[in-house]
Amino acid sequence: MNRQQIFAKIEAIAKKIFGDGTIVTEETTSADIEKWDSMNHVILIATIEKEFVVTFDIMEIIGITKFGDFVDLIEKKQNQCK
Amino acid sequence: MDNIEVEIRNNLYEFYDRVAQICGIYSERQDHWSVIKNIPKVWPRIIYRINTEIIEQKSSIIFAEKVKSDSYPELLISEDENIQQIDPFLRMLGFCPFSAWKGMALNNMGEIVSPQLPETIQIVRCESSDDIEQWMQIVTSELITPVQFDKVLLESLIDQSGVEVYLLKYNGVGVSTILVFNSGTSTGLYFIATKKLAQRQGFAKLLVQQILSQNARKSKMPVILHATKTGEALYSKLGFLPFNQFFLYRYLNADL
Repeated sequence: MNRQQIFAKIEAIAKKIFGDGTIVTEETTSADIEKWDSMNHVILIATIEKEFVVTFDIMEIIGITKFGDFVDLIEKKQNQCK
Repeated sequence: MDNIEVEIRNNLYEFYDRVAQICGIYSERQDHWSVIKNIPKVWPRIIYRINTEIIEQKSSIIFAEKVKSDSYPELLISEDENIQQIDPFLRMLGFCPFSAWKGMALNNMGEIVSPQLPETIQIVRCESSDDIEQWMQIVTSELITPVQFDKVLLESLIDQSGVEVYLLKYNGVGVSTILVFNSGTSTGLYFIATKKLAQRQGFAKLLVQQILSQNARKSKMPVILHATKTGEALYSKLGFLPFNQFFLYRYLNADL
């Protein structure tokens, strides 16, 4: 799966959690989305982990601030599996 | 400052113990963890003071049952409590980490400079109903949403010795908050927040500087705090040094 495909999946997940009208780019952060509180943050992580069949470790999760960070992590994990 | 990591951890745990105790809300200290169970949607509902014994068979079963039946939404653990060992167990139970705090302590109280306040700025100890209301609104919206701070809880805290609650006002309107907790061996700074529209204008820095300067006149105890990623740079500028890290988890199936 290439970067664009990964992002498209994440965008769909984000819109499901935060609402269809949410603007989602790789640079969008929690501060840009009103509904991105701690509860929705963990729901987002759990949904992405399930969708991509990956597990983020604690330091990776703590480092996530924007959607692009998810894409980076998933790309990294895909490359590790090759 | 020997064992400052322990002091940073204990001040926080004692603050939680105190909150539970003075408010008469349900709390419990088990052998390997402590809990505060408050009413839904109200801070605090938290599991803390966890140690590695929790992953041993007998404790882990009791803990898992407790979590499932009582649905605690939040959990805090310090990295010096063998987080790498406990994390997989917590994830398996349905907890997910969402934030981290850096435990910080002030290195040199002698360096604290407190600038004179301009006429437009006032720092008040929260006592009036209006100040309490403003303090709660800022803390709720900037720090603890989607749960909220309870007014009775805050009023009870304000009446306690060792607890001081302050509001910084700009042109008469509250913009920044802080709560100071004296554990007897250290002074902890909590709930440092600034209203969204007033952020990045130096209000929180000014408030912390004033509190530190006031504290330095009364006590030589270390001053500690638990900083979010965004707050870390500000506190470093004020002379705080980073020590241990704390991780916050949310229970995915929690009834908020």
